[in-house]
Amino acid sequence: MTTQPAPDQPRARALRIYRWVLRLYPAAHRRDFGEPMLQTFGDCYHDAVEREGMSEAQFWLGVLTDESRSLIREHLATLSTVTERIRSMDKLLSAVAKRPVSTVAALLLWVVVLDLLSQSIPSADAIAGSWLFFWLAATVIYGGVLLLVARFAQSLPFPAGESSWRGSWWRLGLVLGGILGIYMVALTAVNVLIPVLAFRQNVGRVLLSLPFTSGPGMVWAISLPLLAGTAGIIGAHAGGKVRIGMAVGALAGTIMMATQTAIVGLLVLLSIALYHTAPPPVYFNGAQLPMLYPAFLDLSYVGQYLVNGASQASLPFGLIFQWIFAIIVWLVPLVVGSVLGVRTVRQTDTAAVAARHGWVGRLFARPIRFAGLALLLIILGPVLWLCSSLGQSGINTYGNPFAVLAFASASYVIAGLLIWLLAVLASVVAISVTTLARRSRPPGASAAPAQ
Amino acid sequence: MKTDQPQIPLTPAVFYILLALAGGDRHGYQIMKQVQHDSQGQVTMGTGTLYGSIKRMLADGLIAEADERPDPALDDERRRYYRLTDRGRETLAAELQRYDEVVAIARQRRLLPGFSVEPGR
Repeated sequence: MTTQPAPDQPRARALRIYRWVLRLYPAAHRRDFGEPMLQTFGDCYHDAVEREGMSEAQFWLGVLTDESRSLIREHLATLSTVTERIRSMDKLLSAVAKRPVSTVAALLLWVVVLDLLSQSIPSADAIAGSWLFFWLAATVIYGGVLLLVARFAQSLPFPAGESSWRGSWWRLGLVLGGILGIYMVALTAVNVLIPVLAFRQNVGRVLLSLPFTSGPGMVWAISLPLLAGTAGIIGAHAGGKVRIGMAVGALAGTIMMATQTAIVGLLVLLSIALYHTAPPPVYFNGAQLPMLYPAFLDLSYVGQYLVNGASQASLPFGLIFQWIFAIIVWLVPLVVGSVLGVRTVRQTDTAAVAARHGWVGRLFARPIRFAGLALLLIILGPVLWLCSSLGQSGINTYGNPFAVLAFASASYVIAGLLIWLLAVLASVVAISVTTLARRSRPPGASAAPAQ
Repeated sequence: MKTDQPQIPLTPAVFYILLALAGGDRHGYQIMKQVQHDSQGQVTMGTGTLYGSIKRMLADGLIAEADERPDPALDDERRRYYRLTDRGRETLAAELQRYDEVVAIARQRRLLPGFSVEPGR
């Protein structure tokens, strides 16, 4: 009995369909058992349908019933393997759980700092005089957070190139996308609820003056490269390949953007409903209410920035620009993050680095490990700021959104290239120093002890 | 994860696959047919269930891929044959022993069908 009949036979069609069913199995299972399963299926078809005369419908009913059960079982088994590995995050989560106040305070501080920084962005005309602040602040903020991310990624137990992770980029993407979706919901809730609560309870002219009232748009926009880089690092570190980091980041980013769009849609519906049931007061205690609805519910800030501060920009227009903006800002850090994610795996042997390079090696061991990440940090901050500045700058684009988009894209690319050159120079200096130190070591000197 | 002790009781699928392989090395479809025969049609497993069980049994060390093919001249080279390991044989024996003890208890309590009409058997 053969499993490779002429293509025009019913069995060939059945085998073709079953081959598609096999694609639904986890990659590892398909790789290990795909071919024998196909052969066994062919034998079953031959005996049941061709020899015993069972109807096709009855045969396929049995096959699909069995396969659906088996598919669920195999995917659950694969997920349980992933879950075991994710348990290594328990330490981090338990540490966070033990310090809820500190964690919440840190998150709030993060949002406030981002928002304050976004408000301090110099206009494009004044940007030439603000380079120091422009470079340092962004580098420090992104640097600190991403170093923590990379440090944590290195502590994860899964090594690069393990097959079960290679096949599960979409699971990682779903998990990260879920986290980013929650982040979007939390960010929106903070920015919408705080002004409302402050107004309702009248505790809060102070609260109203806080930067939350500028809306989540800028916080979201400034966070984008950080999130993209992080997704790339985690994906590439887990999968051991740049393209896995890219796939994970792309899926996670799409889920985040879809969540953002859904939130905006829901809030707009809510604002319309509220407006029709209870029109809002414009003044309260003699003061004009800042950004209360429907204005503050319109979350298409990024879109408005890009269309030259045109607050009259329609919501769909704003949403479309949010997506375009996100794709542009997401893509480059994602590529860089994915490359660095692989590097964090390959450069974990810092003890060997230290042994080769003596005391300078020990000094540089950790920086060498994070050298690639530092590159990412240097690129991310200023580039985003430049984009944002152009958006806020009032450059006269005569309301042409494509012109604004072209400005933002061009600035992004040019700034990235410049900073990349500087980073290369810095790397050359660092490597030269370590090489010189190695040469200056007397022959026969013992290697430095491992860290 | 492998342990030294056989993990019994076994699921019907695992038990019948072990039973099928106790008679000699077999490939997937032969196992499927043998299981159906041994269970008198009460246990039928599709391709997905069969290979899911095989995967777990390979991981548990109950079975292994056979190095030699029963009749290479008449068979497709791509077929994979499976054989019982020592651990699989011990596990099957332990399970059969368990069945035997259960049957003994059932006999003592005169629970087996037809047993009551032949007391003292």
